[in-house]
Amino acid sequence: MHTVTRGMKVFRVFNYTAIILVCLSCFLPVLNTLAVSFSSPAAVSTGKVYFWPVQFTTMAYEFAITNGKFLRALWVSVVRCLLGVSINLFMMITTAYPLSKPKSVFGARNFYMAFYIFTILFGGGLVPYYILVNRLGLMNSIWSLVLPLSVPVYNMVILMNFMRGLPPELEEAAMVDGAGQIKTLFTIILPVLKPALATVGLFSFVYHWNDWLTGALFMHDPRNYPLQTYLQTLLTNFNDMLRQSGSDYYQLLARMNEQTGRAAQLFLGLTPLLIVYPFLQKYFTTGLVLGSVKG
Amino acid sequence: MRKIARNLLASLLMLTMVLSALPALAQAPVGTREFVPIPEGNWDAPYETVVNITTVKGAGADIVYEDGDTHTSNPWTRAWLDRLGIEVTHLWVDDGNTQYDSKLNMTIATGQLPDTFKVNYVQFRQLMDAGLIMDLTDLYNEHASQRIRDYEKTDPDTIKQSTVDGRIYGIPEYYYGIIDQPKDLWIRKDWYEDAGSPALKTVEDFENLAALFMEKYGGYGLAISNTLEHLFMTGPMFGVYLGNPANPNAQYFWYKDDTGRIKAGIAHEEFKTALQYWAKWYEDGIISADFANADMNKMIQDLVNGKAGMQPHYQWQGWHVGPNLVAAQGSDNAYMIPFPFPTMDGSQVLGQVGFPNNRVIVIAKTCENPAAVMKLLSFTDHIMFDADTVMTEEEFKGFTDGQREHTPGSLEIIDPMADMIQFEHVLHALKTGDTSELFTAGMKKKYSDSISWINEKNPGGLGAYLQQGFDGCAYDNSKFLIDNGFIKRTDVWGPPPVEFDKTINTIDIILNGVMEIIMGIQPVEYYDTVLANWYAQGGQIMEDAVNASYGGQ
Amino acid sequence: MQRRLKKEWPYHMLLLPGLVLTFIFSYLPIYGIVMAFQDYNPGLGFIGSRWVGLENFQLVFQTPQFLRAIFNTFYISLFKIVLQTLASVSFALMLNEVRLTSAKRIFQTIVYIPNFISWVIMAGILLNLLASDGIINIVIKALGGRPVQFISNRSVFPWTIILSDVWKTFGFGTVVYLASITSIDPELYEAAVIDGAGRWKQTRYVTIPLLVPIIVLMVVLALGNVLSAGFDQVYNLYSPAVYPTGDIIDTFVYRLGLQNGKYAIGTAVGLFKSVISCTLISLSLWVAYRFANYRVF
Repeated sequence: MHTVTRGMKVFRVFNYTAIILVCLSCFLPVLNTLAVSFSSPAAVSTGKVYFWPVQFTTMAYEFAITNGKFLRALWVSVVRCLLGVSINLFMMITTAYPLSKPKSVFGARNFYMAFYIFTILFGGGLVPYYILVNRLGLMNSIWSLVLPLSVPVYNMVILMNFMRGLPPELEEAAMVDGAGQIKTLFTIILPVLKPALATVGLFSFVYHWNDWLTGALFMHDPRNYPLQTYLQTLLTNFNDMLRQSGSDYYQLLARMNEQTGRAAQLFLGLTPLLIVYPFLQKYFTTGLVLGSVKG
Repeated sequence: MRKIARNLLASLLMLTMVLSALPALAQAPVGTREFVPIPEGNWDAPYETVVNITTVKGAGADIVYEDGDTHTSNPWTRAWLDRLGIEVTHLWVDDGNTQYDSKLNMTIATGQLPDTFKVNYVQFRQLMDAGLIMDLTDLYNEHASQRIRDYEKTDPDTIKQSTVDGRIYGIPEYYYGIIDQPKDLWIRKDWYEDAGSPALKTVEDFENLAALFMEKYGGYGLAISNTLEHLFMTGPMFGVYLGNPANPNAQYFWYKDDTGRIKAGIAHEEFKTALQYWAKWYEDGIISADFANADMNKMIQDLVNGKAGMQPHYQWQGWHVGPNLVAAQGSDNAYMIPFPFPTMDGSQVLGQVGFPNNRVIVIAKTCENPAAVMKLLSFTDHIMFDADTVMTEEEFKGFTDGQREHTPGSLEIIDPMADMIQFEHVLHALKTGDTSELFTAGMKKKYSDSISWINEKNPGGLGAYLQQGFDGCAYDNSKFLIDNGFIKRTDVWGPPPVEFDKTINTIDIILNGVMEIIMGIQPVEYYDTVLANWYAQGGQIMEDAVNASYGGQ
Repeated sequence: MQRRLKKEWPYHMLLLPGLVLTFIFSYLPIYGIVMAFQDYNPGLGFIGSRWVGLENFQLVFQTPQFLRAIFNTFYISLFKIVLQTLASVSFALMLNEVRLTSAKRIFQTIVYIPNFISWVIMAGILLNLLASDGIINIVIKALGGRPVQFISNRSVFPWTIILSDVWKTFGFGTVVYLASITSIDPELYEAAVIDGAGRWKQTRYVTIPLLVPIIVLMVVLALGNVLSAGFDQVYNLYSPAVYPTGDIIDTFVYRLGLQNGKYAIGTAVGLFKSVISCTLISLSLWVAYRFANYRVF
């Protein structure tokens, strides 16, 4: 039994208070945005919307959803994320594992590591990239969105670091039993790395979900736009479009404005994340249980 | 854990299958039709066997199609095929028009040019250098409709900007007319009337009115944004004409001084007068102490909130601020109306007119049927702006409902008199109640919007009403300026000369200096230093280039 | 040699798919760097465009505002990295003391959420909060202080940027650090308890030392981005009044109007950023190795 000292109690009260204050400061903007997305542009413009919608309206959402492009874009995004995250995870695992070995075990590791680090530092820019995607015949295909960044180096390095933190006995035990490296990776290493996999998986998911630029560049048919690209088209240059006199974009302003539109965009974009998150959550805080493996 | 790997693989496979089931890029139906041959040389003579034209387009995100129709298959594409025998294929469509320039640059880089497309002047120059686009002179003269060619009479100078050694390489897309350019001083109608509708001739009148508003309603006087876009619109009050710092293509407004030298507005002597007044306005609270925080949203928020009652703005202010102001204040009288800017000595203010054309239409040298492009352009123009077009109501709706008049994209050419003609017809119809002469989609829409404000006080109609619905509306003010020659036209009727590429972000120097002077951190005399810096860091290069290219001293 | 190959071939095989894709998508387009030395014209392509030597570099480097932007970028970035790390680690440690697993999850989720709010929206919220009549200044005034111009005062502005960014993004680091703490072998704590260590000592002597590698890693990775001080954030909050202290490299380049196809200058600046980041990363790797005998990558 733990004895809870007085100092411990004071600390806990302090700790909880601080955490709750910080969380509140992080959560209120979200609440505010949600309220804005359901308020009329007039109410938003008077700055009267705080944490509850004023003059409740779903116009901003209807504008985004009703013209039929929405569901299609949502589907493209879902497919992209499933595919993209699967590929990312697979590539990160197969890359991080060998690279987590010291040079004494895997002689070429430093060479490979340098190979990857170089790519986060140097790039050729968009133009040659576009030419390449075009040459490969990937234009207008979902593969142009998931193949190019199949090894997210940043996250891979984080994962590699997690692998390096594992006690060496873990693997040695399996090796003694005669398992090869690949088998060890999948049967011994991965199960204990669930928190790390959930973390990098989440980052990878967020990337694929939020990225809109590649969709706009590589999808030649707007019907293949992922959700964020589609939502972005509704709102970018909202004010610039207004400047083009003679066009009728500004008629939109009576129904919604940039603020309400963006707020709605945020929540439409967030929903799936709120669905995925609980699944990942389970792994975030799952502690490392080595006992059973070590036997 | 093999299970994980197996599951991964299985899900990958499944996804691949799902993906392959995603519908392929829709293609317009291909077919040959029989046509009655019409004599050669008429733009509306259809091809006997279908010819194909490839293009690309940036489309407005709010274009709405009937069920089953898309950006690439719709009443327009069908009409092109049925009536002209031309099948138009889009290599890509940039929905929302956010990446058009980038995508086009990259498409050019791949070497696979569409037959026809719209380019900005930088791209035009690059394509000319690379020798990739066709001489259109003969095609234009032989195959384009008389209407399109007549645009040169309205605006003889613009097409010269895409003419090289007497040969035309690009056809301007044109614009809705210079009537949309002069800015106004927008003032809260209810407040103005409560103040007894005072005369607004001199800068002093303006300052008095601002002081009155502030005394009565609190807040500050003039709503502006932190890009200085709106403050710079007040230049004509002091006889100086300025660009829009927020628009990289029009940061400076160039015109001749007394010696015949073309200079940017910010380099003219009168600019210091403006600075003096602006600094005073800031000190007096006419300009908000928080103006440096005011992005576009914040500026509107203050107006809607009743924190300010005046704003320099474009003719479309009624859409930008109008409906929200009415809704928030809960009064049909709480909206802003346009006034011509007052001046120092009470004389007539001049309307500022810059070079309005953004893009030109070009044809790649690889295009096999360039004449077809001329037919397409002529047809689009005919449907949208020609009073003599005969169409059933159903056809008209097909072409124009749901913003579909912008569907042609790169095949759209605009009548540079469009808004002037539109305004005359709309105002006439509103005054007489006779709607028979409203022949374009734009006219019908502006008319019905105005009516919905006038009769039902529908705030959504306020924009159209304030733009063209009554005597004293924004277009009425502009028309007065144009008809009577009260116009300050830029002396640089064309894109910036290529030498501008040798300078970078020169406007920063001016904007930072101007802001510090307005906020009282520096005295007005400090502007001499600012301007000297500007000249030293690129201003001189630009000014010399402009004078060399556009005939200054 | 052969034995070695036999032992190591599974590693090579595992790496192969990633290597192939990375080579194709990250190495093949690298030739685009030549654009930095060209007057690039898409119609003429990479081979046909005119070579201009270092002209593009000269153009930006002789502009005083650009040099100022470089300084601002470093200033803002470095403080962001330091404070970010402190905030993330502290919060992860604080969360680690929360016993209730469900509460822990909820807190962790909440602090991660602001990462999803784009700067366009967040800037709107901040501008209202920080205005001269905004809530924060009202509080300052109530406490007897003088109102602060958070956005338009050039000496305050960089700190508005730094602190608001730390607040918005520290949840990201918290997730990583918390996952690392979770991965610590429980036996180590058990051993510490046997040695009579309380919670504080466990944190001090077990948790923090075991976090150091991941902290170093995250900082080094962040250094790779040191010349991108947060374009979206600065762009949505700054104004010409604060250019002298608030303009960063990316906003400067943005205003050049990349829309008009000034790819060449953009590429030149990009190359400059790459070289600096590369130097910084190498330097930090060397320092970590030399003084802590620790290999980051």
